[in-house]
Amino acid sequence: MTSQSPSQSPMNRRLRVAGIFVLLGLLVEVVALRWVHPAAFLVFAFIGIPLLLLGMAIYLYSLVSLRSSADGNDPAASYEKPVA
Amino acid sequence: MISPEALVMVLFGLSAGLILLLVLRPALTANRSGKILAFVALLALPILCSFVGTSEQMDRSKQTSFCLSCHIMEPYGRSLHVDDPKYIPAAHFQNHRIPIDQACYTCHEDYVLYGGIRAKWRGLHHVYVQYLGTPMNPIHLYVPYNNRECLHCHLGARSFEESPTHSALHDDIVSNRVSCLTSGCHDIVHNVSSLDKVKFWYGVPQK
Repeated sequence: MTSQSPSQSPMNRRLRVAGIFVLLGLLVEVVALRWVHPAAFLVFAFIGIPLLLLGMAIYLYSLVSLRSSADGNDPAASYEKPVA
Repeated sequence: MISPEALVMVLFGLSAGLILLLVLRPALTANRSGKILAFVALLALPILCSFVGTSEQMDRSKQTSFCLSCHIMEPYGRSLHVDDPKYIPAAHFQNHRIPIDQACYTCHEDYVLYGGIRAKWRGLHHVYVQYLGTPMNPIHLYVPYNNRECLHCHLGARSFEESPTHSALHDDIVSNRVSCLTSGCHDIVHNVSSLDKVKFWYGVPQK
C-alpha cells in the first residue's frame, strides 16, 4: 500500500475543491454587491449563491464519505493522522 | 462608526481569508479545532454572508437609482424632475412627500400583507422581460393602479380629508370604485410622451 502525502488525501482534495467553489461564490457575491444594477442581483442569485451551495455540498459530501470509509474500517484511506 | 456596507465586506473578507487558509493548508483539518474551523469557514460563515448579501441586495433593489439604472426607465426618472405640480410623481418627489432615495418603490409597492414580496416578484419579471423577452412599448402597469397605494399615506391626512371632492367621493375612493388617477382628477402621472414639451427642475443649486 502506497502512503499518501497529507495534501493528496481524498478528504483534503475535496476540502480544497469545496473551498475553491465557496471562495469563487463569495467573490462573485462581493462583485455583485459593489454594483447597483438589476443584473447584479441576477449575478448574485444565479451565479454566486449556486457556487456557494456547490462548495458547501462538496464539503458535506466529503464529511459523509469520510464517515462511510470509517465504517468500512479504513479511515486512513480518506483522512491522514495529524502530523506531530 | 463602521458602515453596514463595510461590515458586510469585513464578513466576506474574514470568510475568504479562512477559506484560503483551508485551501492552502487542508491538513489543518486533521484535528478537532481544524474541523471546527472547516465547519465555520465552509458552512457557517458563507451561509451568514449569503443572508447578509441577500438582505443587502433586497434593500438595494428599493433604491430609485436601482430602478432607473435600466435604460428603459430613463424617461420615468426624468419625469420626477418636471417643473409642474400637476405631474403627480414630480410633485411627490420634489416636495419629499416620499423618500426620494426609494421613490419608485414607495409608490409602486402593494400595501398589503406580503406586498413587498409581490413587488420583488414583479421586479424579477421586469428583469426577465428586459433580458430575455421584449419590453412593452410604451411600458405600462400590469394591473390598474390601486387607490390603496395613495391612501396608505393620504387617508386621514388633513389635506385629503378636508377637500370637498374627497369628502363627497370618500367611500368610492376608499373602495377603489373611483380611481385617483384615471377618473380625471389626478390623471397627469409620468406622461413620458410629453417630456419634450415641459420644463425641468433639478433642485436648488448648492452654494
